Amino acid sequence: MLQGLLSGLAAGGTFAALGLLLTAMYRLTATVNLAVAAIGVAGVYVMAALTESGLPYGVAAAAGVAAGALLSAGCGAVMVRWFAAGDAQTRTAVSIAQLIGIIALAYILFGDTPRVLPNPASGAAAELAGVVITWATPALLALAALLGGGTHLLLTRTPLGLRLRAMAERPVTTELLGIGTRRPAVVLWAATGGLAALVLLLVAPVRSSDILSLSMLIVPACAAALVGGLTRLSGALLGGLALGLLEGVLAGSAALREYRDAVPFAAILLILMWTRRREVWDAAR
Amino acid sequence: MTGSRALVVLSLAALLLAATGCGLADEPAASQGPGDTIKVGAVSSLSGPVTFPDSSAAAKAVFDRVNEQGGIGGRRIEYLVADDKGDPAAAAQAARDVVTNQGAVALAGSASLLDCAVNAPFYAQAGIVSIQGTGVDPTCFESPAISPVNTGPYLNMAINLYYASEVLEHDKVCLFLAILGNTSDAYGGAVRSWTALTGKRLTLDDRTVKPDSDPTPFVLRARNAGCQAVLYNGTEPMAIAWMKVVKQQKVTGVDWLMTTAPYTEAVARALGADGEGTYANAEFEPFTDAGSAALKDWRELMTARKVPLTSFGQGGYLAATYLVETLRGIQGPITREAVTRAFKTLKPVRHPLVGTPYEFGPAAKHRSNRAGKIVQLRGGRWEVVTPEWVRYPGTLD
Repeated sequence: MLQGLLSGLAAGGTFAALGLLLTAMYRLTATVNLAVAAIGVAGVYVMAALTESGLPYGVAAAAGVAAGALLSAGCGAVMVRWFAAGDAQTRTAVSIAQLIGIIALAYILFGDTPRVLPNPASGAAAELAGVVITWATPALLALAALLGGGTHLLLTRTPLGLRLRAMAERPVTTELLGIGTRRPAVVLWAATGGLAALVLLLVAPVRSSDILSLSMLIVPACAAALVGGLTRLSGALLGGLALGLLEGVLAGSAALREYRDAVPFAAILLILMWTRRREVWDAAR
Repeated sequence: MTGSRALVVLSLAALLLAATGCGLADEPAASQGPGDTIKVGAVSSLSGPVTFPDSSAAAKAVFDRVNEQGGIGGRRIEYLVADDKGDPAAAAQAARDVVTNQGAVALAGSASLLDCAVNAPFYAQAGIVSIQGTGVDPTCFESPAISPVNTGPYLNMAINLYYASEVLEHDKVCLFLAILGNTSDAYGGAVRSWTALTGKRLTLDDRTVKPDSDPTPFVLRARNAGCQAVLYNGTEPMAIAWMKVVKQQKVTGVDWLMTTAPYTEAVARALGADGEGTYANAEFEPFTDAGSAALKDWRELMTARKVPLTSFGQGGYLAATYLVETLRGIQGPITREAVTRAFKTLKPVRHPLVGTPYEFGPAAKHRSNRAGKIVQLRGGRWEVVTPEWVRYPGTLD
């Protein structure tokens, strides 16, 4: 049991960090950015291409993060330029198109040959109950905590956060009031892209590193974000962790193992039903 | 009124088509003079999420060489490779185009995840044979019209089981499988066959690994169960992740056996020192063995024609070679009927790249490649562990 929990800790950190990115982006840009993991994957592959050409890992990783930021800024620019007045559904649909586009482009550019992916945090940080915890796990957890804390501060303590929220919730009113938010919004997109690349750089070396598998980390990340209703940062953090730990425990249970991959979907379904319960019940009355 | 008339016309047209036999099995060009080309087809995944371009590229290299040397009885081979895009609808369309519209006399060197599953009944109906370069899905090994040159994942797994328990003499053999599509029964058949052959049972049989799973819980489970040998059917990136986690979790004293899929130069490079000791099963004479005399012709041809040196390329080369040899032996005009008859009466063909003779014949299913050579990662390179073929003595049902 303890071993199962510990073996799911790294996955939990990953889901939490990506779930937090989703939540932060939803609150600040009113977009469920389903392409966020794929943007990180693009960063990983840029890093891999550069290390293969002989650059040291540090430089290549920095370039990977920059590539993630740039790509995300591009996606953000499209969103801000043409879909600023669109509702959340429209913008989410656009992000699905961006997700498919990025995956297709990545396959064309990088192919499906496995890459050499150096692991920056492969050293053992601790060994508990027979499970080796590498530095990647505390790094991911710290990244998740920082993301959560940082976003909270940005939202509640800074004028920029306030503007971005206004832009997300009432885009037309905000523009009519003369508050220019396009540039900070694109910068925000760039930052989340860079962070996504950072998360994926830690995760990709010990997961199946093909473009599609890594991009689909967005599914458990969505489940994590939904635990917080896409708005509560603490919910996304705890939700992500819980999902990862649950997966780890279920992998060790003979009876439930087969249903392990259904956990994120079941979680998404249950949360949606729970959050919609009032609407349905009220309508019934 | 117009609607119902249109309906009548349509159904009449359908009736006419059926009556004249303009269906799928017809061969358009019945008379072929010596000046015509011999059309050979292939349905391969050339685009989409998983691609196998090397097999048809290698087959093309063989056909090009034959053409440069004067063709078959003065007739050139025209090789028509259709892309199934990894999509069942596109696969069905591609097969009908190559077989019905273009009038291919046979198919050779196809490599696809779904060509067999989608098109096997059509090939049987059209009276055409497919010398599959790489058969993956179980249907490839269960059709009267298809005989793959490769071992396939299931026999590959059976050979690995046999090698782990009988050659490495491990008592605790564990199996981890990622099940894609309808492959679970076929793998189950391999396990049953191995149990019937050796009287041994698996210590662990876990078929719940998914391509995007974190391998950590599975690797720990194998260690906790005391597995001495662990067999895994992961693809290249999955096998890389698996072995990296093995290293990360400091699991030692276990033999890790993979199927053919991760036996590539890219995996050796990506794993580096983390992969030390990993076994894989080569379906053909191991292509990384630079000194192998059996590989000489293949290696020279592929290098000259700039086809990557991979296991898939060996499959395409073999399929094309078997077809060319059979075409040369045909007396009279080379038509689809003649080629099919030649393969249905084919005597087993030996080739130094494979451990067991290639067979077609009238059988309802074909699984002639029943041997493998075990290779192991040592110092970042694949080394041949078994210079002799490991032939599987049992049969799969």
